[in-house]
Amino acid sequence: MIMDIFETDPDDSRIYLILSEASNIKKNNVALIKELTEKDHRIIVITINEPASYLYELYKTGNVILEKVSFIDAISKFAMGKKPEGVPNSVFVNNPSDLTGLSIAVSNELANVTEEKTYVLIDSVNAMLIYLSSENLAKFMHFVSSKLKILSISGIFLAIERGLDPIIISQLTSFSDDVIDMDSENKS
Amino acid sequence: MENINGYYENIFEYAGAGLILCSKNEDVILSNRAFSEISGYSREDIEYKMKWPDFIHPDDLKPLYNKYRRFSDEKAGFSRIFEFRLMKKDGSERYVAATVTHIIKDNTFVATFLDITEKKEMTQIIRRREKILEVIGEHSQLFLESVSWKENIGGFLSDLGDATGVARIYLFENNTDHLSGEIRMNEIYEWTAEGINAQINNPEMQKLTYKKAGVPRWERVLSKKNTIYADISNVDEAEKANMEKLGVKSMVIAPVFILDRWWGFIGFDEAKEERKWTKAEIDTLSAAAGIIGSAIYRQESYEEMLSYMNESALRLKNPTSIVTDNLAEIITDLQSGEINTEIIISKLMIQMKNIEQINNNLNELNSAIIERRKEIPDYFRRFITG
Repeated sequence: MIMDIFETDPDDSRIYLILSEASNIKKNNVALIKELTEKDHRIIVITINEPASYLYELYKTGNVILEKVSFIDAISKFAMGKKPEGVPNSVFVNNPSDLTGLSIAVSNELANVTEEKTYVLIDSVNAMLIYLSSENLAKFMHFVSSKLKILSISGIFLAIERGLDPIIISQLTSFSDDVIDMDSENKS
Repeated sequence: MENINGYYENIFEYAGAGLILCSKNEDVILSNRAFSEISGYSREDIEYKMKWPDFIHPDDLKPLYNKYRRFSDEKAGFSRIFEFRLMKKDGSERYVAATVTHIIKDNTFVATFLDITEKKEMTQIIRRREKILEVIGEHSQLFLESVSWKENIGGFLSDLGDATGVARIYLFENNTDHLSGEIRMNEIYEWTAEGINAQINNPEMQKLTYKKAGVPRWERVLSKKNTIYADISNVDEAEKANMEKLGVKSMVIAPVFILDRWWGFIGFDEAKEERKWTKAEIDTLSAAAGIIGSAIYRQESYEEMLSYMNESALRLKNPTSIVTDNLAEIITDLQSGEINTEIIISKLMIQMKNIEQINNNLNELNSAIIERRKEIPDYFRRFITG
């Protein structure tokens, strides 16, 4: 099981940096969400690379308990020029480079957290680098991880290792409690 | 004849140069008014009571004796010029040029003294300035050849120390306190002459505001690109207390600027004497501060460029792979037929936006390079190099 990496009862407020092959990131995303929702955890997905509508469909197909999932979509409105309709539990940020807007959306979603166990998943760190400088990316990740720690919420940063500079990985590692190479975990 | 002797006496007494007549056993038999002025001793103090070596600075006596003996042994009736420090009655010293002539007929010596202190000091100052300029020239090249200015700074301070002859040279870097906004100074490099205590490990030399360090005027003066010359006799009480604590008699503090940014300062402490620093010498020390500023600027520019190049690579390599991967995924989704068209279109539009953004990023970076290197957009700067 993929979720063995979180063990059965993950500690509160742990930040995981999950590295994955590009070809597996979608599959790993769905598997993670499925496993966590089945454990009655709530998930807030911050998506920069895929439209929330697409992830919603993927999760539906993957039998994820969708009531437990909400989305902060930072790309769809920006790319389409309008707010997409028909994606439940979604908020849309105007521009992925608008860190203030993104931070407010994260703060608002976290303020609504009532479940005992909540995870915030960012998909993906690599896509953020298109819209943010490495410095601003580091600032944002630092903001999110600090916020999560304060609120005792766990975080998952999804990243494709191949595309990332070792210096960025090193920065991300410093914000994370655990670094998990999803593909090598699956192989083992 | 009596008149002629009187004339000779007048010539001896009122000659512009100091004159003494000594016996072969070194007693001073006669001395004139000008010699009393130079030495501070009266004729009564001197004649038949003092020997000529009594007037010589102890450090100069032995070499002078050696030279004197060489001439006196080799040739009766010799006349030679000797330069040495003459000790005055009050303990101070003057540089003199003494022309010593051996009078064969009664085996006595007559010495004529000229006070050359000012000329000597000027020569020393010029020589010292030349040495400092030589060190600056040599190290400008070394700084250029070094990858990091820190590799060469120790050698630079040491060579400056030898050239200036001071007791201590130190380099302080300013840091701004994030909370209070106050500028704090930190000692980061130091050179000391033999026998002088280093201060770099003194906690009082670290993270101090200028006010707390007792030198608030330094902040005002140095930040305006001016150099400070401080002599213990003409500074305020707080500065004087500082100087006394460190055993410093005078100091020159020159600001280090990186373009228009005040980076810190280099200081030169003199502990041995109340040294006279000329304006030319102080200007030379400011030039030394200038090459440190240039070396730091050069390295910062280099690191910014490196950072910029790394960032450029990051902003190209990673996003390009993302778009490629996403497009491959869209093809798979299309082939599967499981994803509805509207979602496929939104995914394609995202990729178009991604490509547009990558293009904008590269244009922005390229403009920064073309327009001026230091105008690299702020958010691209100094992340990787810290």
